[in-house]
Parts: sequence; structure tokens; C-alpha cells
Amino acid sequence: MSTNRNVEQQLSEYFGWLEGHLGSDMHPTAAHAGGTPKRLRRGLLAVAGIAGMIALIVAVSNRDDGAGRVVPASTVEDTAVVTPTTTSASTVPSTTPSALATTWAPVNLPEGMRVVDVSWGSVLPGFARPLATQNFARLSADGTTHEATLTLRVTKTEQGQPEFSTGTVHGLPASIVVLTDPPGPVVGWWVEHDLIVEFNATGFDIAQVVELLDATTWRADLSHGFEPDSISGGMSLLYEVVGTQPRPYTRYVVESDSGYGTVEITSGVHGLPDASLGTIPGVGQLLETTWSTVVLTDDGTAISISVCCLPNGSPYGVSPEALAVAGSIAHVDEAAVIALAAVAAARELALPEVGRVVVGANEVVLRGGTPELPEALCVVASGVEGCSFNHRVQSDSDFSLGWTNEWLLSGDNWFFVMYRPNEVGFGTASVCPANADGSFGEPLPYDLAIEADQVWTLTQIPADAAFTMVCGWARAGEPVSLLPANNISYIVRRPPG
Amino acid sequence: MTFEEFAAEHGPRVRAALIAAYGPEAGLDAASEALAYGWEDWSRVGTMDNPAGYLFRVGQSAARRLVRVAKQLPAPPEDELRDFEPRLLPALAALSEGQRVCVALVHGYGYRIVEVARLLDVSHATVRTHLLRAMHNLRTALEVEVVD
Repeated sequence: MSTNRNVEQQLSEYFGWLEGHLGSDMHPTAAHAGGTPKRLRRGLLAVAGIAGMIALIVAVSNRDDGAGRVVPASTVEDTAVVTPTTTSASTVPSTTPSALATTWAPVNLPEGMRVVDVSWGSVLPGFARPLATQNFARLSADGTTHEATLTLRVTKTEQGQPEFSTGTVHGLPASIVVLTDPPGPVVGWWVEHDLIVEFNATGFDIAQVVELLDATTWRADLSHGFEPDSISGGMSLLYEVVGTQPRPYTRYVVESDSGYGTVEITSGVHGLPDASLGTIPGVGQLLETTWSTVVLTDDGTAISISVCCLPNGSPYGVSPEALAVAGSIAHVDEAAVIALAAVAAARELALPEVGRVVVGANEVVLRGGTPELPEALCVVASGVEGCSFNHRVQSDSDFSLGWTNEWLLSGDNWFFVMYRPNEVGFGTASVCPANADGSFGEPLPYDLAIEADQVWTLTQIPADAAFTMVCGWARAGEPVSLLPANNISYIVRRPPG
Repeated sequence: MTFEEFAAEHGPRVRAALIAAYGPEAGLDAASEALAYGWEDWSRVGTMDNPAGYLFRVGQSAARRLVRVAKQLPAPPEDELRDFEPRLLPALAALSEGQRVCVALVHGYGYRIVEVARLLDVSHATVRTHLLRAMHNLRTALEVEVVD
């Protein structure tokens, strides 16, 4: 069956009806939407896609933090430490961010699957900025579900004691609320040592949670949260993320005959997993969370696996492809990761040319796929051509991303290449050199070309910049609006080697 | 910002997300609990960087306890929504919670990807991935062909 009504339209109509049916406003308010009529906004969104998204990031951020302001990144100098399960605090192995970036990789993929892209960067703490998040759980007898959970999150605060306390923790007033009938989730917070501790517990009633919390003891370094051994109730530490320093990641795109998947290796996971799915011998535990399948390695590295866009519509969660990727992970040194990246880049370079655009003094070459959706974006600079996988290929072909960009190396030159439709309303992303802490410098100049109704920009990243990022957005004739530094979720690292 | 101002501006987003995730009944109850919690604790929640995201998490916790059966979105009567595709609801139900939230907020209600990311406390890349995956699954389920 076919239909000329696209899915976006059906969703808009259905959820619009649902809103009226429930008599409950769920659309953005006029004030929230900046006064733009919501139907018009939705239409604009369909056109603007991701390009609009970045412009709107600025709008949202500006509303919160002031237009065009560059805010210094974290002033907290903690070390990012991630710990795996059940071991006591004194014996918990920790890993440094620099070691984490390249210690695991999907190197043993089964036949029919291959790494087509490798990229490096750092996840930044974003707006939440907790000092420590600790997740504890009590597993069911068969080890597949969590009978009880406790999440503790410690954040610096100038907040005073709860105005309306409903109990005490450590003898201090605490807000403690059970959200549903016992033994439903119990949430709340208290302030101790100028730190706010927020908690969320399931599988306990209020009295049990208070008993649990009263028994907790702080670690010697308060910003690292609580001693895992002091958590009772049959629970053990699943994992924790401590510190606000950027957490390095290495991201792999894996291609299979059935689609693409993304494997992201970082030094921590936020949120509590829904279920434990078992272990991978020699690697670690396999966990299912709301947002991804996670491999928690024995050295504390968290590997997030998502498999996208399978033609059979595999449900989110643990697909055979995700399991295959999980089983392919092995501990490797950086040279092996660089070799994976080199193989992927060489494969892209060998793809047939399907288009070419002169941008300033350099050329962008489109390889593989079609001119509209090339499989690789390449840049020829000083006679050398370097390529990157075009992440847009991962998406549905008719999903209106609007804006596509990649970072790539061409010889020793590092470029940001972007293309978007040549339509009124679209702006151009600005790229800035960044520092490891997420702070960034002035927007870089770029070359621009218009060809076949597409606007192409090419930005060369200075040789002394180890990191870069999209730092703002500018519409034609308007100044660049910079993102506030404390709203940035990641920075991109110059590929090593 | 007063709690009333906050609820007027951000309440719809929290409500829409929880209903998309857990269905109208549990979602509405969870949103009410979350907003009630926000009201009670506004002196603290109001100072947070992202109170809407925090209250979404509160609502999520509430909803997971409230949901005892599969979440179901209601079907519209024929005379209220012409050309409604009945396979849309089972297709939505088959999505993950995260996919359903993203697709409802972005394509159902026109929220911006960055707003959804902020509400869910995930990166916009994560929201984008959920959208891509959700739209692919929906199109597969509905067997939609692009018509020029």
C-alpha cells in the first residue's frame, strides 16, 4: 500500500487530535515559540531540519544565557573516574580519560559487518553538571531485572535547606516524596556540605529509603559521592560517573548488510539500566538502558551501542546486530584504532566519484552513492584527497535533515565541510577552535560555493587546534550567534596519527 | 520565573512527552505528579538549570510505576479525524519509549530538537538518532512510499 500523506503529517494530525481529545495543551506556547504560530513553525521545521535546529539552539540558549556570550567552561577540576560493579571504593579500578579514548574497539566484527567511520571527541557535562552520579541496583535471582534501584546525584549548590522538609537524612531536613503507591519510586533531596544530593529509589517505601540514606557515608572527597560499601538493601554499585571534566569518546559507524549502527565508547553512562542482559566473556556486562544497549567493560569503560535504520524495523533495544557488535569489542591500543580509521578512509577514497564542487582554493569530491546522497565526502587540498563517511547516509533518504556536515583530514589539513539547500531562511554553521575543557575561540573564516541549489562551505581548522566544534550560526547578513559554552554537549578532536 | 509561568511555558512539553511515552492515562497522571512535585519544591527546582528536564525525570519515575499494562494511545473516531491511518497506533506502540517521545514532540507537536534534547537530558545527536530510527520504523510499518 502506498499513501501520499507522509508520516510527519499523520503524526501532526493525530497528536493534534489527541491534544484536543484529552483537553490538555501540549503544543509549544506562543511565548515559548517566540510568537510564531505553531502550524507555521511546524512547516518551517520541516523545511529547516537540522539547519534550523542549530539556529534554534542559539535561540534557546540565548534565552537562558544571553545572546552571543562566550561562557568559560567548567571551573571544577575533578578527574573523571568511572567505576564498574560491586567492588569497594578502595579497590575500584579507575581509568583516565586519555586511556579510555582508544582502549576498546569493535575489531572482531562478523563477516558482512565493517567499520566505515571512526571519530574522536569529548562529551561535555552540559547543563546538568553533576559532580557524581552513582547507580546502585539489586538484581533479581535470574540476574535479568533490577528489583530495586537507587540513584544518587551530587551537585554543587548554593541552595539552602528544603523549605518544606518531610523527613531527615543524616539528621538534616530532607524533601522526601513517594510518587505513587508504595513501594513506588521515592524521590527527594537534601543539602549537606554545600552539596545537594538528589535521590531516586525504586523497590522501597519511604521508611526503607530513609534507612538506606541514613546509613550512607561520604567518601573522603565529598565530590565523589558516597562509599559504595555503605549502601545496604542488598544492592551493589552498577556504575558511577564522577567529575565534570569532559569525557573522551571514540565513535565508530558500523555498516552491515542490513543497515548502519553506531558504537560510542565513552568513560561513563548516565541513567540507570532497565535490565542486565548478561556478560560478554573477557569484556564485561551487557546492560539495556532506556536509550541504548550498553557494554560496561571490566575496566569501567561504557560502550553505548545503537543500531539504526534496519529495513526489517527491528525494535529498539537488543537486536542481533547490536549483540554482534557487542561481541566484537576487544581491548586494543591506539594504533589499532588508527588503523581501523585508515582502512575506512581508504575504502571511501576508492569509491567512484559522483560529483565535485570547487570551494575556494580547494575541491569537495563526492564519492559513492548518488550526487544527492554521496556515501563519502572528500576534500582535495594541496593535491591530497582525504575522505569521511557521510553520516547522512545513516538516515532515511527522505528525512529532511537539511544540513550535512563532516570533519575530515586531507593530508595534514583538517577541514569542516558542510552543505545545505540554497534557500532563504537557512544559515551557515560557524566553526570555532576549541580547548579540551570545552571553551572555544573566535569563529573561523570559511570559503563558500553555490552549486546545484546547494550551498557548500569549507572551513580549515588551524593546525594548532586540537579540538573544534560548531560554535554558532549565522544567517546571511547577520552576525554569528555563539552558543553559550555551558550548553555544549560535545567537541570534536583532531584525528590522531 | 514563578512556578505558574514555568508551568504555562514548559508544562505542555512535559505532559506531551510523558503521554507519548506512557499513554494518556499514566502520562497525564505522571505529569500531574511531576508538576505537583515542582510546585511543592519550586524554591529549589526553580533555581535549576533545567527544571523541565528534572520534572520529566520525576514524571518518568512516577509513570513507570503507574503503567501496569502496555501503553496505548486512543484511536480517534472516524468523524473526528478523516483519513486516519489505523496502523499508525500499533506502529507507535511498537516504538521504544525514547523513540515515541521524540517523534511525538518533534513531529507531533513541532518542538525543536534541542528542546527535546534538553527535556530528556540527552544530546541532540541522540534525539536525532531516535527520530531517524522511529521514522524508519513507522514508514516500514505503514509501507509509505514517497510520492513526488
